[in-house]
Amino acid sequence: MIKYSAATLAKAQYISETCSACRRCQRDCVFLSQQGQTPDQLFGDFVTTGKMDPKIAYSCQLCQHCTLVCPHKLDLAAAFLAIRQDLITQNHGRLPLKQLNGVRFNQIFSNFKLFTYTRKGD
Amino acid sequence: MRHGFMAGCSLSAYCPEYVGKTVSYLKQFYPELSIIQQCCGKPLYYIGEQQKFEKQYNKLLDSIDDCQVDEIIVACQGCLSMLRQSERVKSVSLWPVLAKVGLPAAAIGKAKDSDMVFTIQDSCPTRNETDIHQAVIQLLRELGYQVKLAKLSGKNTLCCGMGGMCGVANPKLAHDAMVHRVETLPTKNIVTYCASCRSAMMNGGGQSWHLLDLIWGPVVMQGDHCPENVLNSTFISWKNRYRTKKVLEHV
Ligand code: SF4
Ligand code: SF4
Repeated sequence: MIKYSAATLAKAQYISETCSACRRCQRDCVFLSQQGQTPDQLFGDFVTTGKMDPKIAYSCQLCQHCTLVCPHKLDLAAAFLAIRQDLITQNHGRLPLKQLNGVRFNQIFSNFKLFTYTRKGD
Repeated sequence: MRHGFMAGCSLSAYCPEYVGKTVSYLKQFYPELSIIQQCCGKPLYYIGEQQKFEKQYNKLLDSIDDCQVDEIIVACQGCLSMLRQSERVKSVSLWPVLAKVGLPAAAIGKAKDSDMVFTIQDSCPTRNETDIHQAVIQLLRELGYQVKLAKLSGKNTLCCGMGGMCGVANPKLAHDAMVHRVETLPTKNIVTYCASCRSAMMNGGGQSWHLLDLIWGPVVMQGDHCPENVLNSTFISWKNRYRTKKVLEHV
């Protein structure tokens, strides 16, 4: 089982204790509205069980629209990102979803000389 | 002050010619312009690969330092949002820069007879950068286009659906978000200033133009079709990234 860092758990706990389940964030977030649970439930469950389905953690678009509309300015994106970071570091660098390997390959290709160029101006 | 220019990966994968035209135009105002054609590493940051991201990001910052750039002009809001986190280099968005130096003479008012009404998909990584939102509206109006803003725009913009690597992790949800975003806009004719947003708006059922399409490309009228969605093809995207490098070698 993944051992989440204290900083990640603190972020999640803060959301679970502060969110008033007003659902304002769900209105225009397809991810949260399809997910169904309000952030207090979602992160409350995470803190209690120490688990979150990686597919959920990786479905947030990290767009921070929720933070903008939330009466408490809760930063859900930062919490999901922290969970992602722990999912990788606590799992010996293995990616929790196989489709994410494409991102690694993409990064390797991006650094090929075929695609990079640097020129110092005069 | 020495300047540099960074197009970013997705714009390079979309349109090499317009990257080239933008750089030659900028060189009229910044003759000492350096070119930095490298990835900022944001995809790694988004998936939580913090160590690999930092390596990539520091490599980019080192290149900017090597070119002795004081201020880097960035065409991609994703790259810009990452560079904003660094104290090592000053960064500025391409769009306020263009609004300040002015459009090329041939572009000013070129669409004044167009019946097209565009709305704008603001990029979510720069939702708090109001000067960018204003510059984009200004540039569109200077081109001669009519603009109808969405209620959810500027600071209040929604993600196009591609954000956070959701398109890779959960493509079905990303597609639903794209469709939702297009539905929240007042017209299906959508201007973006991010090549990934443009692709997403098309995948969500809209017609979408990148701001550079409108500056350097033909005038668009009601009913016209937008350029094809090249980012949906991995092969064309990489071919274009290679072509962008070649174009940049010669500007
Ligand atoms: S940051 Fe995530 S949870 Fe918040 S609105 Fe965007 S997609 Fe939804
Ligand atoms: S807007 Fe804020 S308080 Fe309301 S449900 Fe969402 S996270 Fe909770």
